[in-house]
Amino acid sequence: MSGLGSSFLMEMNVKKVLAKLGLNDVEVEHSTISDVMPGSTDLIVCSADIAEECASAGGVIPLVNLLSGDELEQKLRKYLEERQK
Amino acid sequence: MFVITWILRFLQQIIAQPALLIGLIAMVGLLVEKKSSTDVIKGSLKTVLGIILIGSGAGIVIAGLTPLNDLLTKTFNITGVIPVNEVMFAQAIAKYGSEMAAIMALAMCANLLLARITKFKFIYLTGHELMWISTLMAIILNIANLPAWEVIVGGGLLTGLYMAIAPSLIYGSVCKVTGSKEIAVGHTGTVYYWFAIAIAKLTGNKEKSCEDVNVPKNLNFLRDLSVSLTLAMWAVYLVVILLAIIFKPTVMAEVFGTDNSFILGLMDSVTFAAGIYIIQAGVRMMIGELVPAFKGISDRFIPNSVPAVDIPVLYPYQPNSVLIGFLVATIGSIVGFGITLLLVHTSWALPIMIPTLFNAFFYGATFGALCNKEGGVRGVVFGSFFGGIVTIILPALLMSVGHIVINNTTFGGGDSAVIGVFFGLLSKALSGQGLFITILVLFLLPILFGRVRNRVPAKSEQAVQGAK
Repeated sequence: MSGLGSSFLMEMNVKKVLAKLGLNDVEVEHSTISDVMPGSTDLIVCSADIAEECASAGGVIPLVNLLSGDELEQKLRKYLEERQK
Repeated sequence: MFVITWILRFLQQIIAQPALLIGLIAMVGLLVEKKSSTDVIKGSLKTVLGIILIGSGAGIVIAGLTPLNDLLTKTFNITGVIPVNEVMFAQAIAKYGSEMAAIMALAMCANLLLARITKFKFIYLTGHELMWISTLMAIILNIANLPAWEVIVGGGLLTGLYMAIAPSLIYGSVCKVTGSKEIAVGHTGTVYYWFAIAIAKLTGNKEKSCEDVNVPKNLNFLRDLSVSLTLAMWAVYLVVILLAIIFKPTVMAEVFGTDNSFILGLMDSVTFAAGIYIIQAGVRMMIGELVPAFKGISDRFIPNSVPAVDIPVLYPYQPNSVLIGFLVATIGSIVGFGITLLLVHTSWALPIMIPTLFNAFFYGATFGALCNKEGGVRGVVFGSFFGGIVTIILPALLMSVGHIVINNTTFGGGDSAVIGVFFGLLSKALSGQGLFITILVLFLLPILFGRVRNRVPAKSEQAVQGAK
């Protein structure tokens, strides 16, 4: 919510999963809802309860278990597959 | 000879600048981690930048608050206090920055040690909350007049003890929300949550869950702090301006000149929220290198540890309860503010806490998320309401009993308040060496009595007792 604590750990998870998928040129940052605006980023990985607030920026991956690497990996794979179509 | 004096003076000037000193510490850390040279430059510079942002943000926040306090002082002869961690920290860092950084580094080592050899397996990964507690320790032990090295050692051990033990206070309820034992919560509001959960268990009825109640979803726009803080502050300004116009109309001209006070009140509220935003951006920069390093070490050396993380991990499981908790805690904190107002001229007088909603927001949302599992709708409402009152009363005590206050701000966390009040009272009985030895003994207690290997942290009575 202040973009300091849990989002930071999510950033580390996203980086880990991206490295696993072999995507090394993706920029990942963590921040607060105040920074969500159209065009600010390609994809937001966020908590499921604020997914609607984050939708205006572009792609959204809502997580229920914020720290689950498995949930993240599964949803991120699906997102990337759909984007390639 | 000339060269030596020059070098000494050079070093002296670095130490006199906490921002540079902390940047230097970050650089050493990055070098030890064997990062690439670009990472070392980037990481240490960002740490310094973060501290400068934090300092500037503090100035902006205070600029937004000064007219409000002028109004309060000139109309009612009272001063309002803002119990907001960010603001308190931002002001304290100029004086206690270097000690705070050293305390933090030692505290992380102490946390790792305790997690390794005792049954308290929590690793406190909420970097900014760790900074608040470290700053609090630096202030407390400086007030107690301990020499610098004892401030750092004592503060570091105490903070590490806090990090390992505090999450156990609410671990049981956290597990019920997340449905797993893998995550704990590390946040300086733990005492508030513990209190709210106790109320929810007493008054609640698990049959009727908050998640079945219809809550207007568009209230979620308040989760954007810049928006909600501006609105909340403007509401406070409007009320105070109206009261001032009624009771002492001349004050308006003194504070706002000939300009429209309602518009200036709005501008000051936006300024306040902007300052908070800047402080948080600075904090984000400052801890950017710290948390990954800490997590890396704990993952490697303490594989069975439980990460204690920031409160929003609870929110996606209970989105409705979060909103209800927030709304009810807001009412609770306004009632708490009313209580401090009513007590003004009695012998029970407490400092007056301005309800910025900042606290009601974080703490309230967490009350909702935790209390629903323990007591359904009724539990959330009662837990959040009384919890909201306590979020005002405890910081007031931290200020009046613990004497922790800078420029009418103090820490907002319940844990900070309990620790501050405890030491405020303790330092009346003990001084200097006695206090330092007490800290050492406190740190040794879990090592002597809590040495259980390879066990998931048990939420036993001792754990609850120990964390108080």
